[in-house]
Amino acid sequence: MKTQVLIIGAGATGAGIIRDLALRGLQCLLLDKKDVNAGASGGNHGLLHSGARYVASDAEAANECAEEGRIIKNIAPQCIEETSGFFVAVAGDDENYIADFPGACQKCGIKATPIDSQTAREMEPNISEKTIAAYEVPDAAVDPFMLTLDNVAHARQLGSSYMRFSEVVGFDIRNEKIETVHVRNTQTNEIFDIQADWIVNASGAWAGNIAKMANIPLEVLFSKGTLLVTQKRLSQRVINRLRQASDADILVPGGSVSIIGTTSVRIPDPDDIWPTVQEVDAIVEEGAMMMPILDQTRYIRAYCGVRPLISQPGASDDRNVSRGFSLINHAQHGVKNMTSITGGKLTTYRLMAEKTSDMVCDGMGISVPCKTHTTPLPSTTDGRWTEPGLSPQEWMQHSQHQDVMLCECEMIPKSAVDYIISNMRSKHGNTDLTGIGIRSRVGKGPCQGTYCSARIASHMVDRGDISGTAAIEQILCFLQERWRGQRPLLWDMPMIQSELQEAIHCGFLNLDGYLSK
Amino acid sequence: MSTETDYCDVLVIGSGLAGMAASFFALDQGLKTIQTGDSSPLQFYSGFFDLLGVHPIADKKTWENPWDAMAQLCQDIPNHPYAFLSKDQILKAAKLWLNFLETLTISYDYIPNKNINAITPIGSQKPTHAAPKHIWTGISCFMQRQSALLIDIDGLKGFSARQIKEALQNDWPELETTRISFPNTSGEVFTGHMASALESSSVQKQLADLLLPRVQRVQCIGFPAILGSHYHQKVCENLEQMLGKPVFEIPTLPPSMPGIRLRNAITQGLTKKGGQLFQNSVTHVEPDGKYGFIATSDHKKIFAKNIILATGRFMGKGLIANRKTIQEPLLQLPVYQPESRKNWHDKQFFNPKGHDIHQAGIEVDNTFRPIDQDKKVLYDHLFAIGSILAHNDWMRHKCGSGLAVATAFGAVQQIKHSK
Repeated sequence: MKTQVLIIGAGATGAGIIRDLALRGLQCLLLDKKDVNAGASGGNHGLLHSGARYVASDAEAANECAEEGRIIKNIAPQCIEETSGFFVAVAGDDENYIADFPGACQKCGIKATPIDSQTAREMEPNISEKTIAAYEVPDAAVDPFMLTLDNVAHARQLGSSYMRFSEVVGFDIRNEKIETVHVRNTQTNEIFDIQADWIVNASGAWAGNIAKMANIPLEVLFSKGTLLVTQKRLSQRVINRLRQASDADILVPGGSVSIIGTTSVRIPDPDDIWPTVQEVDAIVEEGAMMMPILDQTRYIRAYCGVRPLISQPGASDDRNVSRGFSLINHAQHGVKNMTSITGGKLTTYRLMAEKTSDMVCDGMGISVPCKTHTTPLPSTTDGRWTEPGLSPQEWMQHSQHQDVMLCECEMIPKSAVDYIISNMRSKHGNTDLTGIGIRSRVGKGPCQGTYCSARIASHMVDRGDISGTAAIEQILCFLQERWRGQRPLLWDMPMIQSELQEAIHCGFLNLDGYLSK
Repeated sequence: MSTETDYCDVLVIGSGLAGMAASFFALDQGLKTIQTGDSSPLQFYSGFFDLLGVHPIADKKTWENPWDAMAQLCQDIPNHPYAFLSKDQILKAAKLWLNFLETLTISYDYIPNKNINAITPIGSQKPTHAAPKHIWTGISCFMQRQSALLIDIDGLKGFSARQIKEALQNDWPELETTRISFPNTSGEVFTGHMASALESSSVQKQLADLLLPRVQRVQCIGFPAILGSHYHQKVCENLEQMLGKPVFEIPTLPPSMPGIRLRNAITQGLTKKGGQLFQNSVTHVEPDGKYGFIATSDHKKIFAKNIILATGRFMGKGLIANRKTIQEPLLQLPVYQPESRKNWHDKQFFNPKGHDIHQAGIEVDNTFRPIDQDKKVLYDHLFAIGSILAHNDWMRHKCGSGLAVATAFGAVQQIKHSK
């Protein structure tokens, strides 16, 4: 297999890079050992930062966010909900920080409109009675899955390719150049080779592992951030706590839900991440200071992402140092056709892709300028089922009598699952339930996959996508992945729901008896 | 609204399998019995009658003989609810219960002293002891590897004959499949609707006509559990006559027709025996020095000499979890539980060992009366039965229905004894 540029890692950055390079006329191949947004790109708030969050700690990052936010809103409106955002301080918060905030925003060119506390509470009834200051800023919500899927889809339209379940396991290096990349199909364990003129390591938290295979020293540290999804949307706007970045101080609405987070915990291994009971409790309790309803509301899922940090000595809080990105040309390490890009924020993914692509083109002697800041990102159907609450509207508008509702919580009909499957098949690897989950809201409603996992598995068998035996394995795998996010928040209704799930899948279907059988 | 007052010997709180069984045993003893609870729990019930399929669960060890399994279980887990009963008691409870169901035209089949593997709608196999007659027909057909045709239906989600065939291909290569459109339907179809429709003889005929050309080569014919609702037995007989072969059902994901049939039949049967069944839940219970207990349910006051708590776990709201603890909401009974929420659930959902929270529940003495931390009986006339009991993981042991019925029997025996 041959390609001009091989990009490792299908997060937002990798997807941004393949599109950027494809727009410059290069033929590229994007690989992921799992699937799109399997790392930090899928484990974040989905916040398109206005930049106000960083005005006090990092003016450069704030400027970048402000500029990039404007660009993304222009080029990819389908992925953005222009919610606007509040920064609110409650009694007891640092008054110096509050006082400095409007000036700092102004310096970075970020519009921050003061709102008196009472008006703020009329505009957002769920914010605390103890609100002492509020500013409105141009924050927005972004759907990271739609964003990545649309970037990949556009690159594919332009002649590039994307392969799922493809893990880089080694490089052949000759004359200071990577000649061959060895790749393992993680579903079949087959090894195959790829020749590329240039290699981009956009594997986020795994960037150190990839670099190591090319004998390049790249120390990456891991900071885990946990977030909670509420069952209902709790605000119209993004709500930020007006203080130095800390736990549980950003609430982002997305479609019909809200997301509160995060935490910041240093961890040794990015492949073993679990949202914990302690983190969930800390988020609920801390978040409730800003939004008291967070103590009462129903949560449907917890999840976490890993911020990759390029080792920076002397940093006190990972959140405060992690936002800049690192772009490294490995010629200095004796590998002349490889670039690593890591760190950064979802909001600046396009900028990171631009800078990386510039470096790649420079190295390859290509002088076509970047087009992504002006070329609209085509809205494709790849990402359309990812938005919370969108599917029911579509269903109401285009209801087909013959269709069957496979997921009732999120109203995903059979026709949508069929579409997602046909789309997935063109991206290498077998059709899998987890992949359908990534590309839709399947399993993300209150029932957390209790019914839809079994129904979709049956449907996949009927279609001939998977065997009856594989269906059992896929249900086990899918429910385990959902479980990761359910386990720390099982009380009240979710506890009842999870008991039903276990009663059906263990008590009735005996799937506990099939584990690793 | 005025307050109505009722008096009874036994108030059964809960309308799942344990509550239903308790009402039956109490009525059978001639006790004046009131049962409260809405009609929803049994719609989740597959109809399989488990005694004990797996022990120790961590080893996923299955047993041919449920009584051998039970003897070992009682030795290993002396505070398991089964350990408070003798084999004779459990056997008698199961017999009385299944006989009662037989009188309600829901007959169960089983092989004495034997567990068998039942077939689920995803083609997995689950150890159980007994099953309703027309589910058993399929199990028996499977055990003898007879040829069968399994039917699935356009628009019925979560039931694929092909999936079941493929999952069972090594164990039941003689299984064939076919898909039909249920008469007079299009688009999405539901088990309850089809079950009701099939009570009409003309729909039965339409279905049989549809199938006749396809069933020549097989010995029996399987369906998702849709063969009738109130007149299930009759529907099966008619179809068997028209098709000339035995028919069987495989239970579906909830809502489950075998469970709904049981609910309807048992409700009728208990009422016939003189039981009073109230749909409302009990919201408040207090001890009453004179009568025993006063329970409040909607606008009713129920004076009960004995209370049997069969409120289930979290689904039945017999237990309530908040962020810090697990509570019993009606009488604030002490709940045995893991030390902190951190320990409630394991990282692996399907971990064969089970989750620590399944050990949580109400601890009782050997007559099913709740006890405190010092093992002291809290009320002489209060009993807890079924899945609310501590130290039982019915989902992994595959012992839910047996446990429900046997503990109900145990509690009623004590009531009778102390009368």
